[in-house]
Amino acid sequence: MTRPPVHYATTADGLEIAYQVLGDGPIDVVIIPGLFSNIDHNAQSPFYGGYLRRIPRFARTIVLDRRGGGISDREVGSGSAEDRMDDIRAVMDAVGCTRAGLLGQCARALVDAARGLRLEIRAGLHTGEIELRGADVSGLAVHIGARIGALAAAGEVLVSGTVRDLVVGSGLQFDDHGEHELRGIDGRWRLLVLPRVSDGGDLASFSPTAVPPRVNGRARTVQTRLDVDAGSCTRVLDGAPMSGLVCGRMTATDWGFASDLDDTSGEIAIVGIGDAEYTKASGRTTQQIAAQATARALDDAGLTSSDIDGVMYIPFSGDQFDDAAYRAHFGTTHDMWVSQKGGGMVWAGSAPYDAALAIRSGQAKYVLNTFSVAWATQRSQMVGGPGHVHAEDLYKQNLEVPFGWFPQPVYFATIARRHMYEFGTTPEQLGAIAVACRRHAMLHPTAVMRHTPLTLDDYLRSPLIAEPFRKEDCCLISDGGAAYIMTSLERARDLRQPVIAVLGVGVGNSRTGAYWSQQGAFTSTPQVFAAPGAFAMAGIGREDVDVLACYDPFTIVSLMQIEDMGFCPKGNAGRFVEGDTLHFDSGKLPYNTHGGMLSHAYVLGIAHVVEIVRQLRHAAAAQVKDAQVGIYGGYTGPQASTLILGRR
Amino acid sequence: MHAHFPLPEVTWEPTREFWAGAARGELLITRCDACGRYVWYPQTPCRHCGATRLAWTRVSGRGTLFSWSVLHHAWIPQFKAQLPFVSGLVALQEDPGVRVVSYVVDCAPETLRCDMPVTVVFRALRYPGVDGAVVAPLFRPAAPSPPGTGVR
Repeated sequence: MTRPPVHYATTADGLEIAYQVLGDGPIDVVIIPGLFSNIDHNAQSPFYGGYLRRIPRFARTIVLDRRGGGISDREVGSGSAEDRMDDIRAVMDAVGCTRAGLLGQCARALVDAARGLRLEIRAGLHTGEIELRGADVSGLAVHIGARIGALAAAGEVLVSGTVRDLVVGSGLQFDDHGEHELRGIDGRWRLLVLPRVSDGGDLASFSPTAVPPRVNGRARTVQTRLDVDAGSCTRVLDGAPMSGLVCGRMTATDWGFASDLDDTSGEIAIVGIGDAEYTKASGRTTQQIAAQATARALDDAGLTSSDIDGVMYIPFSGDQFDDAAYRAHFGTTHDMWVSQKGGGMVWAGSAPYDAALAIRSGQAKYVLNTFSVAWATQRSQMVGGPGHVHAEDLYKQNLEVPFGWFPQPVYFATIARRHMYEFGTTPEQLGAIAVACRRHAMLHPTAVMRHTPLTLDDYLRSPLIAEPFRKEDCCLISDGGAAYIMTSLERARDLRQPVIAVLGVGVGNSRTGAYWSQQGAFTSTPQVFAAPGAFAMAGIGREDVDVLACYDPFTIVSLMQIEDMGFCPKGNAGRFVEGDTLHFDSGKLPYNTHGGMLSHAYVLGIAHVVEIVRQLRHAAAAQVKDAQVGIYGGYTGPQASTLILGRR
Repeated sequence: MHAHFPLPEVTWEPTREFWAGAARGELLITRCDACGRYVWYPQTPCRHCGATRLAWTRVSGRGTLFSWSVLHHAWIPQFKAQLPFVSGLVALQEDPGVRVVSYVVDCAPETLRCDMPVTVVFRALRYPGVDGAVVAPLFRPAAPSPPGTGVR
């Protein structure tokens, strides 16, 4: 491993602080330096080595040496807790980081840090003897520390009576937290709680002298379990001080995780695309719509109906275009590989991964994915619609609907409100997304809203329906659908269209499923977990992306995915989307260049993939100049997908 | 959809205790027997430790308003008569990771702020055209809770 370049940031009091930036990702993680850290030697450290291999895979990772330590200015002492926070702030400023997850090897450093930054931490502290075996750590004290940490709520620092006894005289105030059983450990344990960080002030007394750095001459034995929640970054650091294992392992209190996918980069291409008509209520069925899109995709690819030997769909919302429907419509009888992991939403982005596996293993040569809805027709007949599936969930029926928290516009209005509170996002910034999408729809020959202009003033005047949402924050209700056909890269080269290769796929998952009310990182999407894998598989960076399309039921879902995919730091997307950033001709981040679900049609993402392919073929209506790489961000709530396509 | 929609089906087993508690003026939330963490909604296995037994536990009813929406449109016709209304999420004092969905009442919507203290109040839910009423935990603004008594 080559030595990453060392940079220096200057603190307010003029000291030079050494730092390095490792890896990349949608979140920033700052590693809080310990007493003896040295960024030149961190990689060899049993404490830091594991972190430094794992964290840069999913996060932009910033390591630094504190003042008076490592290769930072050494003429001064280690300074106060406030000084050390100044060091961290100077480095964060230098790299343009406003929010970060913090990782440190002692609770004291993290609690100090949490005071200076807006962070919620969860910690359990215990002290006792530990056993060090290489980079690993064990011993009963570790288990006790972890068990105590498991009992801590967000923002809570729980300590054992032993820790309390050690810091008598420090001025620290603890509240009694009662006796607890610690799973797998004998006896009952008296626990105490430090005042919550978010209650302010009280932790100021938790000064560097409060907890002795050494107990009885042994190395530090305070064990911590920390849950650092900085916007999208929730990582549990289990037994963090010593183990070095923590960040590579997902534990139950993480709010989500990435699906483990094989590398399929460059194996297949999208060779045919087809749209059905996009309309308001039309009286068509979902299968009629899908059949029309499929016929057009076959024609586009120069294939016949008997060439297709794989069919993907999702058994959702009406009769989808399964293998039986395909055979009935085209009058064929041949065997087909069939997958229910296709369709729209998250699957419009992940279907190419499953298709690639089927094509790799020889189960299919030409795979069709379709999705269609007739929600405009169904709604006019009062037989269905997007809220229906949620109304049928019994937990929602019994714990959400009775309180008026229903359906999706209300969920996402509540998320938007919190995003505004946490990050200062404004209605005008949400409006910038709606305006860009409408401008694109006005240029698009099949967009439902192609005749209805929308200015920012129009947006701000549109009626409030679920504050902070206006009508124009919300997607259309449409009839329509689309289809695309995939095959191997080799076969794609023999077909008539430019080769649009599948370069990367990532899938992220939320542990709370479609219960948005309980999602750990409320103002984030599982793109946090999906995008890093897709970019890693494709071997490209955010700066390589020419055009982006995201599943956009509401403006806030666009905003969150843009930041969760790493196109700007978490919380900054409001400022990022202002002005013309998202417009097709901005040269910045052209977004939903067909108009998206807000202005083109609400067909749940399948038309987004078709649009990205069209952009990369240089055949789009609102064409992005010389587009080479395009991305679809799929979303359902429980899951998100990132699909990276490239012109070959 | 059950007959009393959008009222809850109070006999549905997984949330029966929640509604039975509300009828007694108690806010009950499930807590994991094994790890002691609150688990909401009442679904096993425990999200935190994987254990399979949850116990209904009375909580203080104090918390903070995590976020909310003011509704001006009724997606369910029975809500039309109460427009505009405030529906949102309350983060419980016992574990702010638990967010209880409820109405926010007894205040003007423009006075609401994220993270403001709220406290539970029990009121009967009734909807036009729906038989019966169900007592439910609603939330209203509260004064900040007094600081805890410190022990050394």
